[in-house]
Amino acid sequence: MVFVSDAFVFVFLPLFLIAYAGVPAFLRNSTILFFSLVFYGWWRFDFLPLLVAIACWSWLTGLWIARASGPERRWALLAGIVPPLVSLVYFKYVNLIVDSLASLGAPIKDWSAIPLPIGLSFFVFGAISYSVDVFRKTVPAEPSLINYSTYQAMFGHLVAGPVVRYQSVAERLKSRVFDSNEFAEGLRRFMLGFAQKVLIGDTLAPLVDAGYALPAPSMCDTIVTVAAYTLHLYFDFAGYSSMAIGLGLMIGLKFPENFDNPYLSTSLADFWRRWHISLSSWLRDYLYIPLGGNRAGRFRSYVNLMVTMALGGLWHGASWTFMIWGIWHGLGLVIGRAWNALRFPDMPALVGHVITLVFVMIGWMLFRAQDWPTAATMFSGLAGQHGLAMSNGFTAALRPIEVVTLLIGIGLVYLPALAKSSPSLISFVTRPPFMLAALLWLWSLWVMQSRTVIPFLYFQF
Amino acid sequence: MIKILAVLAIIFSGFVSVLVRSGDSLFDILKAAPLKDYLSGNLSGRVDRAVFDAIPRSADLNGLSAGLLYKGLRDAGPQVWAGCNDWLYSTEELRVDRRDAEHMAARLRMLPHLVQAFADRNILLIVVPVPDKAEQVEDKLCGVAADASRVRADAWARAAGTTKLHRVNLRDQWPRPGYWRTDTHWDTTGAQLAAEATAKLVNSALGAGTERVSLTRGARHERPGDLARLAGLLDAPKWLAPAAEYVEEARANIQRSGGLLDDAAAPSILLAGSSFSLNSGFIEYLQVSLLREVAQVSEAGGGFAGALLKMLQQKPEMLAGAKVVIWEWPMRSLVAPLSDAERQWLRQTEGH
Repeated sequence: MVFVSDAFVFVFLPLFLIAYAGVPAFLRNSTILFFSLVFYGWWRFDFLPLLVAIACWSWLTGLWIARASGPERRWALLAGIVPPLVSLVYFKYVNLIVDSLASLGAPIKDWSAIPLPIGLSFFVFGAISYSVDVFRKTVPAEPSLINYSTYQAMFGHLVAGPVVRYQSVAERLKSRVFDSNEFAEGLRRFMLGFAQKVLIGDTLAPLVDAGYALPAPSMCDTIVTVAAYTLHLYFDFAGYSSMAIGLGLMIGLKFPENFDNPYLSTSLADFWRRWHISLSSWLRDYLYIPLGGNRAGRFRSYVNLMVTMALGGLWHGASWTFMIWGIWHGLGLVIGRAWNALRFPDMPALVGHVITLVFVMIGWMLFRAQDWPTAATMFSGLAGQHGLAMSNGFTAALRPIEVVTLLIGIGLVYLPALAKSSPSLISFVTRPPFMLAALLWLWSLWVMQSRTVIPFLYFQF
Repeated sequence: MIKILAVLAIIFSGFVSVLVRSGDSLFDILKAAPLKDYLSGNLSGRVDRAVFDAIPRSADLNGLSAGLLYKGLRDAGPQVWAGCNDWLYSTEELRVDRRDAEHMAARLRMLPHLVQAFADRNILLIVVPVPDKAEQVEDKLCGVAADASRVRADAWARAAGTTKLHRVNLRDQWPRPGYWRTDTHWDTTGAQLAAEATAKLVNSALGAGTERVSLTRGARHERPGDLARLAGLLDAPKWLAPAAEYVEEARANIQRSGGLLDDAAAPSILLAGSSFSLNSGFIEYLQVSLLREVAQVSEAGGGFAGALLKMLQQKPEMLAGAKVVIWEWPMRSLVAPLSDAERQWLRQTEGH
């Protein structure tokens, strides 16, 4: 199930709210858990046992880690980490490995692709961080299986994040009271996220698809496509994160913020402090630092950075293009660090911003391409190998509403920077009023209804 | 608190609407679904659709929005290109996709096999590709050129030249405009020209027909265009929608030979086409031009070979006694993704 659907807004959410408000306090986590399993099962019920097994295993090994001492603790930690990781590798990467071997000439026949359980990456990262945190004694092991499973499976963050760490919700899982202000804030965040995704993200999606479908995009086609994708990805993902955070707040759970105006960054390091914050901080704390971080010399820190970003890239999807995207960013971060280490002067903020944005957008070209030939086509388009002016095929796909949305999206990206001089304006921009959020949400609902009806309408050709 | 309640009221009114308006259908869907549908997630799509249908929506409001977008921005939705002077086009004719060449090549590979399948049955197959509206009425496109249409048409002309085909070339003799302004199909002049050109080819093979066929025209009435419908403009206020179009429906009257109780012989000419064959009186004009009755086996949404393959694979008995099959298809369907039937036919004929 997805948040942006009638089934979620008009069936799942009201049923959940009725049930959640109606049960006694000690059954509230069980209620969240039950609804989360239904939410997940809406996609496929037959993958639920996998999720339940990972949650149970992670909970059990957490207790083991907490009770063990000496070398046994390390074994317990390994037991907590390895099986979820193996399940992730199996479901997410075996297809890629088999395809790659087949393309290298390995005699592989009749391989049927393994479906990837949605949300598995977020689920496994949650389990790993929990095991490591219990091992590090950052958090105590959770004695209640229901509470732990509720943390793992909560429908708000189950499918597309943010990557929620157990420690950020541990206290609230044990006890929380209804707070109408918090509920209102959650609702506001949910409605704003909904509007971001529907009105901007989803509006730009067809344009991106059309641009990436071109066999020979011109330079202008490519630039508009990449600009549209840059905004589509941000408003889609940030919108989804905002909805997740809002749903969490409505029931008293605080999920971490995931975006902080990333396209205003003035350096790549700054970008990664603002983009998908829950993932980048996870990678820092559970991969980069365990690899040695900055502590083993400059060269080793560069290697660690590259490895972290490459694996982070591969985490996003089972395709070599994702890995190269990660390496691209790793390379950019290494160059940034080397620049500072060599004591070159800081760039003016505007120059740094432009360079960062161009770098990030080039990275998105790889990120969005489903395979190498597509990425190569886009890069050749950017280089002007298929002409400079906008092609007829792309112009026909470029709707006026998409152009307007593109401009509004750019405006929204830069609005916080432009509003800097006025505190009341910055407050309005960063935290729009409830009623504005409600109006935007209503508008989004209407747009969603009219969009969904189109595919059912046209059957004549 | 009031603002929270206002939002919750909207959510819960939607919930009540689903309960009231889709109660039975939801229950039926859930009751009828086998366990495997629950497990595999196949059920979700059907339930989502039932819930979607249960949420009230205002056609007037949607029409107003579509009309404002159309008049304000010249935006007619994702599937319709708004040209000048209320000329609408299907974006299928204008867009380019990296898989176009692959789809077109696959269809062109089908061509000799299809021709052979009918030749084996001693049936003459007459191919009638319908030119794209975008290419024929390019001057009203305003903002783009019909390059994609030209590429398709030229590729077809080259391929057809290498296959022994009885084909009607409408592209070079098209009566401009020949299409409805707000519809993707040919208008009566286009349909009439196509019918006359096709009949000429059939008559040259079979000789002139002898049946008495006459044409009567109905009253003039407004004709809602399918592109206007696709763009959501049929519900728009008149001042925001494209100007209306009017048609006089044509009807062919066939006076069959034989007595009152005689069984008339089944027509020996079959029309297996797409929605073009079902529009603007094409079959009526065809029968008048042929002086023969024609059996209609066309299929809306049939694309390239939909109706033809259905007849070959599912209803071959229809071909008994047939002398000619007229195979009409829109040129744009050359690059559409292959249908399951087309893919299967290609696999069978190519032996893998």
